[in-house]
Amino acid sequence: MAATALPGSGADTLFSRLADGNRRDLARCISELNALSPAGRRLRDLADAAEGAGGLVVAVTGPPGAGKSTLIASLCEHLARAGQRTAALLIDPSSPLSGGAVLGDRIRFGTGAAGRPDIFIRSLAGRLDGVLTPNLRAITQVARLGGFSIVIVETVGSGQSDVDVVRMVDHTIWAVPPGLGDGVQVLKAGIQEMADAFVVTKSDREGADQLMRQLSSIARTPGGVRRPVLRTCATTGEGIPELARHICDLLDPASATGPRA
Amino acid sequence: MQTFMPRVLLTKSFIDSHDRAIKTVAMALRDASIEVVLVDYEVAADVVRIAIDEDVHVIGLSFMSGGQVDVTEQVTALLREAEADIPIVVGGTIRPFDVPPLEALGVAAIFRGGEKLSSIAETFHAIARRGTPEGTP
Repeated sequence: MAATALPGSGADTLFSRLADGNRRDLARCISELNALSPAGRRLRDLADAAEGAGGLVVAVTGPPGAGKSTLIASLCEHLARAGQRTAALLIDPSSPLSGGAVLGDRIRFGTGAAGRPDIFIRSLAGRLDGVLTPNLRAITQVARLGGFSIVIVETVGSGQSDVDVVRMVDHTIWAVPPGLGDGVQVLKAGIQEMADAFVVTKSDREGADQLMRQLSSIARTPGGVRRPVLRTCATTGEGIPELARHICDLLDPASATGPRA
Repeated sequence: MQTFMPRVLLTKSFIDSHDRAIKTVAMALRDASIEVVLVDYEVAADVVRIAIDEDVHVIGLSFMSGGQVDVTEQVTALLREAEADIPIVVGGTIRPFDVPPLEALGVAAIFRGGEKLSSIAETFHAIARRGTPEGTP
């Protein structure tokens, strides 16, 4: 825990224990990494050196209130049921005034996930300008070394130009609800150019069909790759199995840590 | 660069819709440089599992309608079982006759209403600093 200075050798011991699958060790590693403590710096070096934990890191980004947390909550359960141990890292902003934070994404998960050994959820306060966390890559690495083959990162509610997360993950999903703007919005530069897949959230709301058409119109990249556009509604479950399948299909069977007991 | 930043779990039963107090305290702690994980629980075991995964320094239990002593007792027992030495703070509608049993359970602080938000935040800071759950290897 961040309260007590962990000596450098403690970080090495903690890191070496990750593969044992003790959630408390993983939780502690994440704390040190996100606190940017001396032990966190050592853990970061160890995580960097161990690159190749396998699995897959997926970011879900999108505007505030898009329904990212609810989508991820539903997705985690599907992935876990499909035999994929899944970790969710939920980033909320830290205060530019005090440095404190109210981390409120976890509330969307209900409490079912808290009892599942195959789901690990962790709330994180953004650090870089209160948004991302400098050790995000290392945190996703320790989560995979701790036995969670799929790591889903929820960004803070993002704007058009928040593209930094793309460099830190394997796959970026842009989640957008209907009703935020007209067709010109999707033509603009920014995250919509960088995302690997589009997800329409809250598809039971008016404007979902139109948004699906708009996103489909920009789905093809300049390189000719057609990016998937998925229609979801986390409350009814529409599209969640398809999204889970999309993510599972991205897993490299050779490198995935796969389901563990 | 990073100074000590306490992490606190603030939680209430999902069945308890009285969330004004817990949200007010959450914002006061945020403003006092504390990271607050805000979540509802169904059973006491949820509180313990979440506190461990979230690696918090302090657990804050909020009560309005019931369970003040029962739930705190269950959480205390489950923490002991999990060998997780995380201090508990209790707040909300804490009736006079709840206080002795809560104190007997060893809660670190009881907020019965009327305290200044700044003093609540100071108390959380002090308890977080004191608490050294699981120690150092």
